Amino acid sequence: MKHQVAIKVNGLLHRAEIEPRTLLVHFLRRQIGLKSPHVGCDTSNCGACSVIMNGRCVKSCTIFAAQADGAEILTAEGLAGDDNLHPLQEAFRDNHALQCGYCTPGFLMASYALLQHNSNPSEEEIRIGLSGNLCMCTGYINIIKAVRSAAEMIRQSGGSGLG
Amino acid sequence: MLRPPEQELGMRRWIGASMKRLEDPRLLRAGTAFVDDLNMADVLYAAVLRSTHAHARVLKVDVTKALADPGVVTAITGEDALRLTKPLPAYAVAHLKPEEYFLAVNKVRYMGEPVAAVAATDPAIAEDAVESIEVEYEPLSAVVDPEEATKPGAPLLYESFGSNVVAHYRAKWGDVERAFKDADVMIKERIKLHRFSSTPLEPIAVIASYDKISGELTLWSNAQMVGHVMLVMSDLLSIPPNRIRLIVQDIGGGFGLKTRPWKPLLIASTLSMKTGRPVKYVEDRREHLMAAGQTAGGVFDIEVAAKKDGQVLGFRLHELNNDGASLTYAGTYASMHATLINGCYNVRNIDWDSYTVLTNTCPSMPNRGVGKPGICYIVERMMDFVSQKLGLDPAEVRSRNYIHPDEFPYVTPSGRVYDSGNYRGMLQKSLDIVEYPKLRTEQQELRKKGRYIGIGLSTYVHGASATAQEIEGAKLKIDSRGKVIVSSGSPDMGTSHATAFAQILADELGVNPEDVNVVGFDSYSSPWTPYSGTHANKFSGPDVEAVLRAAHSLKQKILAIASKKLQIDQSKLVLSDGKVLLKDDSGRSVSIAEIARTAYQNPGLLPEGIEPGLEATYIGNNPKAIESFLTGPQYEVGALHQLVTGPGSPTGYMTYPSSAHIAVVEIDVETGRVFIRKYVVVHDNGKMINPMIVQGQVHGGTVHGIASALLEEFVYDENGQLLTSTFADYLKPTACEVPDIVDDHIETPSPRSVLGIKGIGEGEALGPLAALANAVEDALAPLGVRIGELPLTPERVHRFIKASKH
Repeated sequence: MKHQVAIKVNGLLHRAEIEPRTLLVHFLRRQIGLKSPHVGCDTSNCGACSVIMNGRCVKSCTIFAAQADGAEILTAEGLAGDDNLHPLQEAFRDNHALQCGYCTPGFLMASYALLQHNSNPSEEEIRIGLSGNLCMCTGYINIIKAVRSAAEMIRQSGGSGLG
Repeated sequence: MLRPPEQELGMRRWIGASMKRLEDPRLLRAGTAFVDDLNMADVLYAAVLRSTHAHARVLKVDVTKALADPGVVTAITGEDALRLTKPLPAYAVAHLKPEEYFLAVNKVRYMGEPVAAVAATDPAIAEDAVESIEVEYEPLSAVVDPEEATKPGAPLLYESFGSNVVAHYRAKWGDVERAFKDADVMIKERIKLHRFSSTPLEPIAVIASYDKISGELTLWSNAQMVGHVMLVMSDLLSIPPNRIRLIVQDIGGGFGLKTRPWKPLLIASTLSMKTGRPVKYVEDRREHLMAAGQTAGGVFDIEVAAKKDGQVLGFRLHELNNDGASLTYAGTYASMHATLINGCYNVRNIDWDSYTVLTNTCPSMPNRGVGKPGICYIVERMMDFVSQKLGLDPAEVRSRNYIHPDEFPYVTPSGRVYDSGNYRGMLQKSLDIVEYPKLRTEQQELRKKGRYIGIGLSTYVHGASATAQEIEGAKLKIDSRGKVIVSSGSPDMGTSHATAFAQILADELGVNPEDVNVVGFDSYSSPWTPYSGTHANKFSGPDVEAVLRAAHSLKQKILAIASKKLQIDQSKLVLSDGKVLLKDDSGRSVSIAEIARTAYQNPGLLPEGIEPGLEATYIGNNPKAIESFLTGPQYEVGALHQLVTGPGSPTGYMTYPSSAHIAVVEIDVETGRVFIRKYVVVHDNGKMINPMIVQGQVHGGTVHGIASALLEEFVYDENGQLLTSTFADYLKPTACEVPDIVDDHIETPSPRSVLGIKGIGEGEALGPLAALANAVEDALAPLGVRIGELPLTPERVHRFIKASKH
């Protein structure tokens, strides 16, 4: 018993026939072939699957692909331009905010959503804004620094980093 | 193009710099090759049926219904495991014959133990199929408590062993009787250690592809210990190692949990051997928490003899280590306690009596530091017990007992040889950062107001750069464009190997770091040894030493070829900025690319005695590593250990970094909540290749330690049911739970490593257990609270407070 969906991912429309129980994260990884949304848990605690859906950060392991029918999805693959990285990605690199890289796409998308909502977050607000994402390698300190730095970069360039 | 810091030509410019990581652009753009990123057209997906009982006989496993679905290609059970493989080898235990297969045969011994597996055309079909497998169990009584497991009449995990106690190490160093006779005070305490795990975010995953025609098995895996995997898989599947191709690309964190993933590897491999198709198995989080591995927990009884001035004369340590249900790694946590048994202290009279017992809980596996966090916890609690008993300051007591900087190389009671250190200097720096005397004053004032702040110290040595006998391979090639390819026997698991190697080669070969490509592991082409892999802070030892020696060999060749080309004596030449030139940069130069072209394309122009080509392989380690272990083997080691290292115990590390942790806490006595006001780490890793990367490891390790002290605990009920099998119950810290970590360092270079580095990795995960236990106990001292166990969740702390009030 299949279901038709049409989902725009990073600007490209994908049409597919899927089983209703297909999770969005599996649709993105297996159907579209994206690598950035990761599965790190079974209970929506880790946030490694975080993507932007219709402008909001969601955990794609807790959304059915069928629920995303007609939606616009943005993943980490859609952040960078052809030649340069998004300010968030630059800031993560400058601040050594990644080690193994497995949690990184989830943090990038959660940070993206945070900065859209609040362009000048305090450290406390950053911690709270990222509390839905787990990292096992960095201890979070450099991730928090990176988000502050990215916020500064984006504000200085006139807020255009979130196009 | 990266610009090097300005410095004299030929001097080290890149080593020591906080260069941004070369791995990052690829990882940030999700151009990754984690196992689950890889796909093949005809791949099958595996799912595993796992035991719901902690202890039971397996009477029947019926896969008929699972095979009914057309999408299910095959299923395997314990019968297949018996027929196709051998029992899993034990690492530490030698005197007992292993009986555990990768799928349960006759018995299950822990909740989550694999019983059967299927391979299907779709992951969802595989999961559905597993649910329809019928198993008849005869439940048996389970034992989860290590003390209960030693009692007569306790349920036996392996009836043929006759006991659940599987290892016993006994040593008496110095004159313990004399120490207790001369003591002014004797302190007796019981310390408990719970079970936890660093839980890498990427689960264990493998794709196995067996080719029936060539008899070759290809494995795409995220295993850390590639040498072990090659030998064990060869042995258990009876496939010669030269027909096993192990490929390891990106690993999403390891921390030890991915060192020996025998069951997932064997499940995928045997399914592939049966079907002739590639089989992908990716465990889920619940499987990982139930079965991938946990630290060994334990109950430790310590008796300390001390003089009233705070000098510790000696101690007796009785241990009961809980290694869970398997023999595969049992005994290793315990044996590692001997390695750092005296910590930073000149305490030489020690009676060590260590038992290891099996229980119906998750098998033990290495976890960030393995036995080192445990022994550090025991020793650092001991120093605080002494301070409390004598009414002395804990910093004073530690200082009084430290090994002095002029006592190195220091031979420990257990025959390990520390290379260098300045423990008093390290402690003093951390005390200065927290403004210790002011804090103590503040503590007194706040107590009068009914507020409870505490200061906890933890100073310790860690073993690093792998152990004395471990060797590694490195292969370097410079192509005719002057670009470098590096192949190492060790995989990266977020440990920044590519950046570190690029910095080293930039200095040694004068190339730009961006011109260095460090490729992933492939057993068909990487220079691996049985020791190959990433663990025990090994990178700073044999991995770096092998690259340095291979680079040296290439450098000599480049200089010889350049000398002939330029008609300048070799001693006047240096390698820098992709060229060979004069030290004072006057006169002619030749590019390394040109040298390489000559070496590959114009061999007739090469000097006498110089062979064509520009590549070098080195397999070995710094010979000084052998200085790190004086005495002979102390106890037997198991088959897997022997497979890799030969008989004997090699746990003398090549280098000995050290750290001082200070935790400043405030306790809310109404709720039991522990609030970390400040957390200071002063670390000594000798010289550092990249201080920014070291700092990242310091943060990560400290947070693992803090989380294991305050949040994380695997909890089993009396039937062996794991109650903490999701991240909703097993509490990992988020950005909200992490304090500001203030870190600084001192440097006592290692005389053993070429670069003077000591390494980082496990490092700061060792300190927080004691720092926080000591801090909370210090805070609640006016209430008479004793910290008997961890983690210090609000519920537990509240219970301690209630129990102590009169």
